[in-house]
Amino acid sequence: MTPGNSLPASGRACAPPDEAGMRPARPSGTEEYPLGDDLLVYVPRSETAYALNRSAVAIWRLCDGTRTVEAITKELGQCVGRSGDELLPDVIQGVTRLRELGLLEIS
Amino acid sequence: MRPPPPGVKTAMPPRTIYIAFGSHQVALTSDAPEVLAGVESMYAAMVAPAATRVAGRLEVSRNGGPYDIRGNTVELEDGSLADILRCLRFSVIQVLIQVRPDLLWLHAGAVASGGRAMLLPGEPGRGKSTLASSLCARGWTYLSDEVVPLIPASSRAVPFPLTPAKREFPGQEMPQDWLRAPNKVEVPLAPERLCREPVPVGALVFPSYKVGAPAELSPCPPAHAVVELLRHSWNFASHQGGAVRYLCDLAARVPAVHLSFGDGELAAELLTRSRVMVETNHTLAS
Repeated sequence: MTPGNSLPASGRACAPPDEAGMRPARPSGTEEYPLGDDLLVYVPRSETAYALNRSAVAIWRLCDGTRTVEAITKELGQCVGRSGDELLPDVIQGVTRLRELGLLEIS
Repeated sequence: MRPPPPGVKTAMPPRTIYIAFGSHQVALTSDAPEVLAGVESMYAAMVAPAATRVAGRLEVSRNGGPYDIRGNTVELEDGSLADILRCLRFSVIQVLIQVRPDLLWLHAGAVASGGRAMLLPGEPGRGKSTLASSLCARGWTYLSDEVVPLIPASSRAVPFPLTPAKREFPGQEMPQDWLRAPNKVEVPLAPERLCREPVPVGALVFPSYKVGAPAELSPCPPAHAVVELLRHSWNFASHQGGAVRYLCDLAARVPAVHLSFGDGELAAELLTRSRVMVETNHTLAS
């Protein structure tokens, strides 16, 4: 199932356990350059650079290979005062996108 | 002298011209006067009277038949004059990029005012040449409309004054194939409008031409500016992580904006009035 397509009519998350239970990790060797609210991430292995906005950075920084997506969501929810159920689809979407870009690996 | 019989190929004696960048030259030898004239026109401000340090050689022969270009970066057979000139324009740049890998070469235009350079990075068709020409008509000095080498250590833009070649916009959306068509008009500049020395970069402006669009500036976040600059780097491979570090440092220090426009004159007026680089001076001074 594609993340983002899993929202029922109520808007509440209904993510399958395999997505919420993933433990994404930042790949080793990336270089980070904070620029204002954003973060420039350079991946030497692929010679690519990405500009991450504040939301993406918040997710990316918590992806250390030990936290599950569910745990990341909970932590982010506490920071922004939103429930994990509300945030989970956005976090899954963010993790998926970062993974597609090669900025996260799933352990 | 009697003209040669029909069908007999003729050739002019070959002549060599030199295009100079710093202490290096690219030599172009041809027996086709129209090719030499075309290159001398597009590189008018960079033609040197003699060679001291030839970095590369290009040859275009015609010998009464189709053009044939040979050199150390490119070979092309049977091209039209427009093909040959476009090929030579980029072959010269390629040779110089290879000779000066210490510079970070960007696909960008650049003009200067008040001792600061404004970079105009962008793909073909974004309006770099139109903006550079219009800004120079308002008193800015010209560095390039196509390629800007940067000195990473000092954040200076080095002049590469190809004759500005402005695409004629006929007031309709530009089809993709026009970008390669010979529809550009050269805009010769007076010698006093040419910037002669490297200039510190003072602003990054990412232009975007769209028919009928009002001239508008909008902020470009620094991280996005870096990604754009990296996309427009011609020799990233020579610098890799060093280029990323340098461009992050640059983007953190100078303002970056998006410019959308449909009229080059109005856009140039906006850039001149907006004093984008005055803010830069404050930033650098603080």
